[in-house]
Amino acid sequence: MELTLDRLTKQFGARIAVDRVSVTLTPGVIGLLGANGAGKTTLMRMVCDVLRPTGGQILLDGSDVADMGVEYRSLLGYLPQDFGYYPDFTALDFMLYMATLKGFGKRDGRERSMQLLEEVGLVDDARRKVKTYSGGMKQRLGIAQAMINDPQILVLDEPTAGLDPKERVRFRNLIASFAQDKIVILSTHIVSDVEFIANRILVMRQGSFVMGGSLEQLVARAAGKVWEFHTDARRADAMAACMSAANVRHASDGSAVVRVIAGERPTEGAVTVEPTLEDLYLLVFSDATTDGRA
Amino acid sequence: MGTLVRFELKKILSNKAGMVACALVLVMLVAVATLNLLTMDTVDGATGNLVHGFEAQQAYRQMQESHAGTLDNSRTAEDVAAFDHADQLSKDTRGLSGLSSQEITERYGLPFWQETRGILEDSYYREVVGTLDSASPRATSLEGGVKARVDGLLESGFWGYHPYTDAEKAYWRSLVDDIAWPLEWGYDGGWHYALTWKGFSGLAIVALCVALSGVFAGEYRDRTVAVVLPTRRGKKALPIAKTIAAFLFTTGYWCVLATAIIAMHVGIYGTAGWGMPLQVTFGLDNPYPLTVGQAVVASCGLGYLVALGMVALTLLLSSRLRSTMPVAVIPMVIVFLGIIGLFSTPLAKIALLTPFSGLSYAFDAMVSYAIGPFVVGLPMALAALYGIMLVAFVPFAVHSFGKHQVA
Repeated sequence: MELTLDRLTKQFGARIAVDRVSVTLTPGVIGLLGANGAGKTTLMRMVCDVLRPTGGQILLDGSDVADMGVEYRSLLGYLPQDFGYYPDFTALDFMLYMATLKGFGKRDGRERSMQLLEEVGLVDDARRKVKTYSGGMKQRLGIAQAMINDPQILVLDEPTAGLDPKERVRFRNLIASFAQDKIVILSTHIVSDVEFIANRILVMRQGSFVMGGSLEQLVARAAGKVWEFHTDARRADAMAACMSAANVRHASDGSAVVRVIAGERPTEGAVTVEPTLEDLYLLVFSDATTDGRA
Repeated sequence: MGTLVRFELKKILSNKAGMVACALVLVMLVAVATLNLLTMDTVDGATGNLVHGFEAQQAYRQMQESHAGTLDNSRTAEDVAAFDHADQLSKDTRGLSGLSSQEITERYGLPFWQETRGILEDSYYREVVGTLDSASPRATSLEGGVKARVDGLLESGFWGYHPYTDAEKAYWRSLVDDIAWPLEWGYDGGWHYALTWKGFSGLAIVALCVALSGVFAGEYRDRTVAVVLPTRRGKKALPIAKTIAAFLFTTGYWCVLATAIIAMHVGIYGTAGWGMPLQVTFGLDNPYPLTVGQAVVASCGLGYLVALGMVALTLLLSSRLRSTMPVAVIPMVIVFLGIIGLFSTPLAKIALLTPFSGLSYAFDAMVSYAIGPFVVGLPMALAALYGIMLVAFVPFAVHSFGKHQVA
């Protein structure tokens, strides 16, 4: 199975949200990394057939998904950003409703719903109204509904928002086991979400992919540009403010270790260290505002 | 599809504002009808006393039943003679016009009151004699009187402002010709009130539009559209299921409302009068050749069609707008502008095409619309307008939701 985005473009008035994006996606977890406003959500909406591209096309195994219609949507699972729900539905009602929309019969829908609610840890709260759920519980329900039809293409937009660390681990394991022979597109600006489970990472900025590859390939691009140095704790914050600092770690003896992204040695005594994906992210977006624009 | 429709109905029923609006309309209808009965007063023909509430209702019923029968020429001649005698006797009795009914009874006795003021103030005599007097010289048959009265109305135009075309005049005269002469007269209490209340179903339509404002727009507002659209049945079956659910809700609510209005009035005022001609209820200048029962059924059906048309408009707005507020407000504005429009005679014929005003006057006034030789009365105009809205708007709404862009 191949999902090809061919010069995919979306323009809102004068603003280009997605700019001639081309990529071919194969089964595995694809992490879509980018700052807020980089165009990730717009791209995912087009992939999910809820937003018409201004230009370009999306092809599934060579067929234009715009022509496939129901056939394509039957293969989709989608958790949108800001997942909307029906406050007066119970979680089970909601799952049964989604199962009906995805073509399940009553009995199969109920079985599959209970199974997924079990997998996301909501089975004991299945008959509670969704409006009484915490943010994390709602997000887990969103993940469950996206997976109910065992989709071949699973699109998750900021799936870990609102999840606590334990829930994030559970989510990662769930996705990792689910992703066999399926395309999972996971959009986030939280680096650790994709670091552990993505087979391939695409970095998006200003509506375009600026980088792509495996974790190792991407991280290698930051090699030699990540530095650490020890300094006086009182000077650490001031130094960090005038450099592209990744981290300042204070020690109990009054010293601090400053981690900096820089093309050249930032200060005497600084040594290069192994880069991480977060370092690469900072390297790419060092000059960007929160909306992903330079 | 059945399961989807059930879920959509559940969503409609969980719209608290809509359910409150629907319940309020029902409560208001019951409350005002009860208040009407309690504040009713009339002069009891048997005693000459002014009576109130249930007593007034009973007195009115007895008076109407005392006139029951076929209004053929000999009967109307007797009625005219009685009225003329009462009129002459009143004129001949000095100072009588300045006395109240109670004072006449006290001074001259009950039989004298019954022979004079009791006849002159009886709406039956005023209606029959007034109609016969529409012709000059006075008509000798009620049919002749009615035709003369209708002719007079046709010549002066609708509300004295909108002239009738020749085609419209011919249309109304042909309806009058179709009335079953001679007319039957009698008591029509329950059905009478049920019919006069038909306009208030316009308020129920407002409540329905509020209840259904979120059918599509609620999905946009709550951002659930992004979840439901990219599914196997999200773009085609779902909007159809939503539409079916909206119309099922409309049908259910309409049945409850019509049943409540009819049961309440028939329960209070009785079931008599179903087969009476509509002229007993709306006056002898009413040109519709229908019985009261036929008019009740036609009004319920017409109201239902108007409701469906307005619901179709609501669904269209709901599929196009992202907020439920304007979706609820626009039908409300249409209904209330229609009421206000009646206060402006030049705009009256347009205002009568809106739900509240239209249903109030349907089968009750000579409102017609002519395009060349083609003429339709108000009920048919309403049926055509709201039928077209129903047929035209629903496919647009379904299509619009399926093509919604989550931006």
